[in-house]
Amino acid sequence: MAVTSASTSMPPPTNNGTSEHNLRPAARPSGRSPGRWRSAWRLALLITLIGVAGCLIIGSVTRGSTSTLQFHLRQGVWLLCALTTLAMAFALPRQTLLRLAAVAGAAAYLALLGVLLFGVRINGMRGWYRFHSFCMQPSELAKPFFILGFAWLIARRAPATPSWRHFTLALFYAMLWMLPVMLQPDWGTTLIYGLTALALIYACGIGWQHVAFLAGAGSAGLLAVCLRYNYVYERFLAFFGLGSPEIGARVGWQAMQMRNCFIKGGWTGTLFADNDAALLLVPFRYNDSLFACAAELLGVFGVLPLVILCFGWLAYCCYRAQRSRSVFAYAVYIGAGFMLSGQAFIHLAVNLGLMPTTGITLPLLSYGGSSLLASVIILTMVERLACEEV
Amino acid sequence: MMPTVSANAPTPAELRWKRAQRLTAAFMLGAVAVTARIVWLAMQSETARELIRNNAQAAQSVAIPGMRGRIISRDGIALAYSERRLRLLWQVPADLSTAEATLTRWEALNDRPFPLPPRQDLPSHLGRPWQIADDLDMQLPALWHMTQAPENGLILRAYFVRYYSQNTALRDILGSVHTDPATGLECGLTGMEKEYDHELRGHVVTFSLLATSRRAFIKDNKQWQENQGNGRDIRIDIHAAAH
Repeated sequence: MAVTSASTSMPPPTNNGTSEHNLRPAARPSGRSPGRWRSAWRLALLITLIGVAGCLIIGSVTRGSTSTLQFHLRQGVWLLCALTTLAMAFALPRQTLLRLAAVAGAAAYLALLGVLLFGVRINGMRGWYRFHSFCMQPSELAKPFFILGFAWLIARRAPATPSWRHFTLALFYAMLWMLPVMLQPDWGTTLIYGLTALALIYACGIGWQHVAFLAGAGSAGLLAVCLRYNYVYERFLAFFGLGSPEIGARVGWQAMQMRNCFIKGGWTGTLFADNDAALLLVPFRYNDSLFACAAELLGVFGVLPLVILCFGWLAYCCYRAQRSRSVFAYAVYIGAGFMLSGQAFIHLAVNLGLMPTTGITLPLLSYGGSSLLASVIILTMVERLACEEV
Repeated sequence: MMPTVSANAPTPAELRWKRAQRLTAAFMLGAVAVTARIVWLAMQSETARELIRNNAQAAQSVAIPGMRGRIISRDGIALAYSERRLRLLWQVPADLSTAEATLTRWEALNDRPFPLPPRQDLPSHLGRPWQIADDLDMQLPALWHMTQAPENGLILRAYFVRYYSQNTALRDILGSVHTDPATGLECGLTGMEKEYDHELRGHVVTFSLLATSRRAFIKDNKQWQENQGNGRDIRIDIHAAAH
């Protein structure tokens, strides 16, 4: 393996006197800088717009439902909580925030372990804490802290050329978080954690042989999951059109309904059409099938901005990563970009029938308080770091 | 052995930057695939759209009475408890030829979902509900059975069987229940069943049963699983083992 020496030409990310391996970027005044608040307002406005759009879509797709849970109103309350968290994150000084993040990360990890013992089982998955009608999903809330921890690890341990030892350390850290999620079992969320970890490991300079090893290990893991969990195996069978017609009808049914939503929606949607029976056949309309339902209501023209937003977020994070002055910030940007855009991509792919069915929410839009809160924390993390680096 | 040093090799920062770009490029390919798929689905012909609309069937509202709560002794033994059963009824058409045609169509079903009533008894049941399956549980296959017949006229009815302690003395204290014909709920008639009726009695839950040609499911089934309209259990200060 070739080891690079100090190059005379400076890399595109400029280094204004800050070490590449420095955990912390150059110290910024922790006072009330007007730039920081401008960013906070812009972000709050963007989140409010997307969040309100999400509430409206949830309200539209659940109309006529017999449920008394009022998902759109609940989501509105969660949105207010998320905006409050955003304001706090911008108001607190940097050092307090870092300490708070460390404590919250530890608490999130303990909650992730605790849910295996004290959580409630819904649809065969022990992934929620329940307090009366209030539910909390720790695997969602742990996402920002997973990224922060990974970035911290990379920034502390990343040498000029990462070796197998560094790779193993990163893999061990990723498995530490993914294992409790796998034990629930929540394969969709495991996939998102895995995708983010893979992106981070690759982005930080790991060699191709490591990536090939990961690909092999991932395939073996998938095979093991298929052998152990029959429903996962059946979902793959249904996706590839294999197996008995009974499996296709039973397991591939949700995928078929979601695909039909896009066909029925066409270019302009059915929101203003006479469609009493619309969406009635789509399960999990307010969370896992939200994009398909939105496509039926709003059509291609209505949902294309959502697609642009999903992938635009990754482009924005990569732009920030390119300008970042520390490995820590670089890893946070990459992790945040892949965590949210990766989740959105899997949601879209499942809804469009490009992947086997798995329950993944669309960040910021689908119903789910823990998911909304985690997404807003990740967005806030990126913007706050960006402000510090300006 | 010392590693080779290349003057033109990228610095770690350059390498990271390039890798971020490659990852973004790979992700953008995914974005293109997603967009292409959306556009392709939206371009499906009007015929496909019509076919989907025709295949979809409207929701059917089904009211299920909640189960009565249990009476439990101090030592945790259920002294009185209910079990819910379902029966499948066929509202036989008043006209014999229509009824026979329906029966013929059901006989032609490949994987016949429920036992068919004997054809020779058909004339005596014209215009009346005819019980064709009993003792069904509340699992989805039972509901699916109900939807497999192409015509309406199949009715799912819930009923309850209440079991009591074998002890005669306790039996008198516990009392008895009767079924309210309007709601299908079990109501306390005598004894403790009457005294604690307001706690024990369930309530009627209405949910939407959606059926396609392939399967049936309960809309918002998560909520159904969590709240089935059942009454509350009560604990009484009687030691069952002592009796």
